[in-house]
Amino acid sequence: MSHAGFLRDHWDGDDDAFLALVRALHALGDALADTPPRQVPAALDAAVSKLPATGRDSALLRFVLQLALAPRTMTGEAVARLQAEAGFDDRAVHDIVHVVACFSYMNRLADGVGVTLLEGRRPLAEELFGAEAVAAHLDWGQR
Amino acid sequence: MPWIAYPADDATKEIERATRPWRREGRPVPGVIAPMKHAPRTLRGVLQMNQAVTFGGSSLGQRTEELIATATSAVNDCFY
Repeated sequence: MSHAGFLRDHWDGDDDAFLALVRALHALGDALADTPPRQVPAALDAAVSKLPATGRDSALLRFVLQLALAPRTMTGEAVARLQAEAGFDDRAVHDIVHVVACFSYMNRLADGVGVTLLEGRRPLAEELFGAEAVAAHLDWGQR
Repeated sequence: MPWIAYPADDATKEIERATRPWRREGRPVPGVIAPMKHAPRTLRGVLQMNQAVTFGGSSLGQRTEELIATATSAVNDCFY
């Protein structure tokens, strides 16, 4: 099962809210792709508050997205903010950073050698991200 | 198809061992893992790290891990 597939099965809210979150995250990545890294933290402050996520998840996503999209902008203040807003202890912060790093690593591997979605995963990916986004992803792999 | 070719799952004894978890279940080696068949030691090391950090291996619980994984991969335009 894909990571998003697991999350979908264990999502607290309704399925429409989950799909809206996943699509909003993908759109946010697109929107910030051309944003200078130094401007990403401020852009995230505005964007994350509009995501269909609340409380602890929202604070977590704010931190995760900053680390994933603009790692050189990370600061001790960002860690302190995450801990104050979401209550994560030092061990949890370490583990959060490790999961972001692990997936960023896997994403870079895929980007570097042109790994695209396996055909069998396409229906789920289209449901999660939309057919247009998946088609663009597969087109990238042909370049 | 990826932009580089890579060995078959049974090209060498070492690759055969490294890909056993998927072959045993009759599943293809995941696309992002398959190129690592060039370096079976790397493949095994990466799998160990993945198991330690995700799939419920961290202190966060699998739901939080998968939320982080999904968010990271979504903003990076990776769909697997």
